[in-house]
Amino acid sequence: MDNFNHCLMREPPFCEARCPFHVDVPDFAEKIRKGLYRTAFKTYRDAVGFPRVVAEICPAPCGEVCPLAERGEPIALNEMEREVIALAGDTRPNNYNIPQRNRKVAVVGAGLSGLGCALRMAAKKYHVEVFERTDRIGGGIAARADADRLLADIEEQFQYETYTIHFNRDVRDRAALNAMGFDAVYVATGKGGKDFGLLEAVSESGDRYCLTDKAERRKPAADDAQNVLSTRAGLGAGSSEGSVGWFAGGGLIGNAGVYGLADGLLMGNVLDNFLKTGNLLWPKNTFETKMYLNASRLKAAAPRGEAGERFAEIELKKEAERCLLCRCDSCRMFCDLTEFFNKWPPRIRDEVFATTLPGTAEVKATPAKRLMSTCSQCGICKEVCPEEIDMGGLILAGRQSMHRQDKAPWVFHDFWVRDMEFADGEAAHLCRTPADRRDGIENRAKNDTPAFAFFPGCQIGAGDPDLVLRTYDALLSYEPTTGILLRCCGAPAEWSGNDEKHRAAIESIMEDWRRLGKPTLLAACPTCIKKFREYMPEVPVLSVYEKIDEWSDSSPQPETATGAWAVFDPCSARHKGPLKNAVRSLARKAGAELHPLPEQDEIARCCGFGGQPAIANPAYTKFVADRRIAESELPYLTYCVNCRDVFNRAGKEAKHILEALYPPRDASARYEKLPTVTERRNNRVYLKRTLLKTYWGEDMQLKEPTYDFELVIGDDLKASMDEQRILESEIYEVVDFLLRTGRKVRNAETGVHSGYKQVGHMTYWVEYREAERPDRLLLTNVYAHRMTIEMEKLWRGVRTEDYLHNVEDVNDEA
Amino acid sequence: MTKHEPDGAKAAQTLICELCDVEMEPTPAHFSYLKRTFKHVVLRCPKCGQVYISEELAKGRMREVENVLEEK
Repeated sequence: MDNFNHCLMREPPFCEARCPFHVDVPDFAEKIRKGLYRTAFKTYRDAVGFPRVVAEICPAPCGEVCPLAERGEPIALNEMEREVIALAGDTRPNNYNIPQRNRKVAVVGAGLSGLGCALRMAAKKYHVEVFERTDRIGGGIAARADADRLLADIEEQFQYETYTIHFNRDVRDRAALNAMGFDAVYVATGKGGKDFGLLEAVSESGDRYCLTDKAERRKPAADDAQNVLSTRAGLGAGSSEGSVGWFAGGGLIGNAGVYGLADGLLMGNVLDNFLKTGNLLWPKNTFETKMYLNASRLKAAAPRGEAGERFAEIELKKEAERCLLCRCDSCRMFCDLTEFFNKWPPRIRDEVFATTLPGTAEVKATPAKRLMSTCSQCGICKEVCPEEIDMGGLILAGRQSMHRQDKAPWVFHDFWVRDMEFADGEAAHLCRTPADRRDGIENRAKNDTPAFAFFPGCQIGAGDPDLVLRTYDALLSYEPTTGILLRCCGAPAEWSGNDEKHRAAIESIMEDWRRLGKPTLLAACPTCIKKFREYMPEVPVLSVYEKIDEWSDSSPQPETATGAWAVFDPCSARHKGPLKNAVRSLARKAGAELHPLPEQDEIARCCGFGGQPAIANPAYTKFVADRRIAESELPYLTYCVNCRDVFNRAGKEAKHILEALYPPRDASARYEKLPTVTERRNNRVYLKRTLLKTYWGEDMQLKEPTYDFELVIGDDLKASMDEQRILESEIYEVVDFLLRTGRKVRNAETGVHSGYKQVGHMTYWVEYREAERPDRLLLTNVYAHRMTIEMEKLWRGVRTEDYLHNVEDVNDEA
Repeated sequence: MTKHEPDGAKAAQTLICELCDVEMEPTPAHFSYLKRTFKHVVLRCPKCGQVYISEELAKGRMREVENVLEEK
C-alpha cells in the first residue's frame, strides 16, 4: 500500500527540476500550443522575476536534461522564452493589492540576487531597503553591451513596488544593520564579497549561510500591544521577536548568474517564513527529480523541423508541440482502467479505501464500486510502474473486502461464478487417464501414472468442443498415457472476491491432480497457467503449445494456417517467453506469416475479458476491445480463447492457435456464429459425453430435469437471451412453474401468457403462446430483472399460498 | 420508483390473472435490491396479489434504479 505514496504523477519533468527557477515547462508549452502567449509569458515571468534578463543570460541547463537531447534535439526553451516575451504584448508585472507590512528587510548588494530578493519582499509589501556599495544596480549585467535593455526590464518589473536603495553605502558589520531596526537581512554581495560571518554559519536545523542576531533595539512601535489584534500580530512573529535573521545567497555562496537570481527570489519565501515563524531555515534550491519517462514516449516524439531564419511564432508553436510534456504516466499509457475512468493511482487508492470502509452508502461515499469490478486483473499496472504500484492487487483486495462485508453487487460476477460451478459440476467435469479404462482409477498400477494430463480450461470446450477432442487426439498420438482434466481453474471465484469459494476451487483442483497421479498439466489457457503458478505452485504446469512444439519437431505439421497474421499475446502470457515462442514456432510450422503488433511491444494487454467486467461495465469491455482491435488491420492469431471470442464478437477476424493447428476435417464445420450461453453449456456436456464414449467406452448418465412440454424458440429470441445471458434451462424452469401453478397472466387481446419466477438471484419473465400441439409452446419473449419482487405471497395481510409445493391447495383456495 | 403511474397500464391492453380470472389493477408493490426496499405501482391481481412487470419497465426504469443501487 505504501508505494502508492511514491506515485510519480506529480514529479517535475527533467527540465523543470534542473531549471534554477523551476519554470513549469509543461504549463508553458501547453499555453504556447494554444496560442496563449500572454499567459505563457506570465508563467515564465512569475518564475524568473526578470524575464528579459533571464532569457538573455540563462545558459539553459534544461537542454542538457531534455530526453530529446539524446537525439541531439533538445527543446529550445531559451528561444521559446525570447519569442514569448516578444509576442506577449503586455509585459507589466502583477500589481498585488495587499496591505503594507511593518517588518523591515535589508538587502546588501543590488546585483541580480539582491534585486530578486528585493522584488519578492517588496511585492509582499515588506519595508525593503537595499544597500549598494557602488553607484548602480545590476551587478555584473551593468557592464554588458545590452545593459540598458536589461536594466529597463528590471525597472519595469519593479514599477508597482516601493523600496529604498542606498547607493555608495558600504555596510560595516552586522551590528550596523541590527541597530537600524531590520528584522531580516539578505546578503548578496557577490563572489568574494563581504560575508558578515555568514559563510561559516550553520543554523540549528543544519542549514548553512544563515544565523540570527539579538536585536539591539526596542520592539517596533506598532507591535506595542494596545489591543487584541496587535497582540496577535506579536504572537505571529513568534520567537523571531527581538532577533534579526541573516541569510546569504547568490555569488557569495557560489551561485552565480541565474542561480544567484534564483537564490534571491527564493529569499521571498525564506525571509517570509523567518519573519512569520522565527524558524531559521534556508533550504537550498534543488535540481533533483525522480521523473520516469516511459521509453515509448520518446519513440513517438516528432523530430525537430528545419530551423528557419528567425525563431518566429510558427517555430515557437512547433517547438511547443514537440515538447513531450514529460510526466510519469506509464500506468495511464498501458492500463485501460486508469484511462477509461481518467484517474491516477492515488485517487483510485483513495476511492477503493473509501468504498471498502465499513458503513453504508447513506453515511459514506462509495465511489469505486463499479471501478473495482471493472479492473481486468491483468497486472500491467504494477509491471509498467517504476515504483511498482500494484493497483490490481489493491482492487482484488477491495473486491474481497466487499464480498466479506456482503456489499458487493452479486450481479457483477454471479453469472460467471455459476458458469464455473457448471464447468466443475457433474455434467462437465472430467478427470481421467487412459489407464483408467483397464483398471478403474483406484486400481491403476503405479507405472501407469501418466507423465502429462491435458488441461484445456473451461472455455475452449464451451466454444468449440470438437477442437478439444482434436487436440486431445493429437496429444495422445504423441504420448498415449496423457490424461485429461476438464474443469475451471478457479479464476472466476478469485475475480468475484469470494475468497472462500476460490480456496475451495483450488483444493478441489489439487484433489483432481492427485487423483490423476500428479502429472505435469498441459494447459491451453494462459490464464489457467497464471493461476496455477500463483495459487498451486506445487503443480507442475506447462503450456500445451510448448509440448506440441517439441513433439511436432519430428513430424511435419500440415500447412493449415497460411496467410498473414498479427500475433495477439494474451495479457496472462506476459513474461512467458517460452510460451510466446512456442506459439510463434507452431504458427510458422503451420505456414503462417507472422507480424508483431506495433503497440504491444513486450507488454501484452488485456482484450477486456479478464477480471470479467462485462456485466459490471459493458461500456468498458467495448472500450478495451475497440482499442485492441485498432492495433492492426491484420487478422489476429491468439492462444487465449476468450481473446478470440472478444474479437470475433466485435467482428474482428481472429483465430485460436489450436484452431489453426487442428482445423476441422470438414472446413465448413467451423462455427458460423459464436455459441449462445446455452449452447456453451451444452457443448461442455457434449465434450464430456464424447470423451467418455470415445476413450473409455462409457455412456454418460446425467440426471437432468425433464419436462412434459417443449419450447419453440426463434433465432432472434435465442440471440436476445444470449445477449442477456439467460439460459434456456432457466426458462424451462420458469415455464414449468407457471404451468404447474397456473400463476400467470393472460393478455385478453393477444392471448399471450406471461409470468415470472425468481431463479437464484435473477427474476426471469417469459411470454409465450400455445401452439397447435398442447405440449409445444411458442416462446415469444424473455427478459429479466435483478430486483426481487417482495412480499407478494403476503397479500393484504393474508398469507396466500406457497405456489411451488401446494399446487392443489392453491386451486382450492382460488 | 416513486412515480405513481402504473407502467404498462397506458398501453391499452387488458391483463387477466389466470389464477383468479380477474383483471389486473394498478396497485403498489414492494421490491428489494442490494439490501434496499422500495415501492412502485404496477399491475396486480386484486385477489391473489400476483404482479405484472412489462419488458419496458424491466429494461427501462428498473434497470436505471438497479444501476444506481449497484454504485451505492
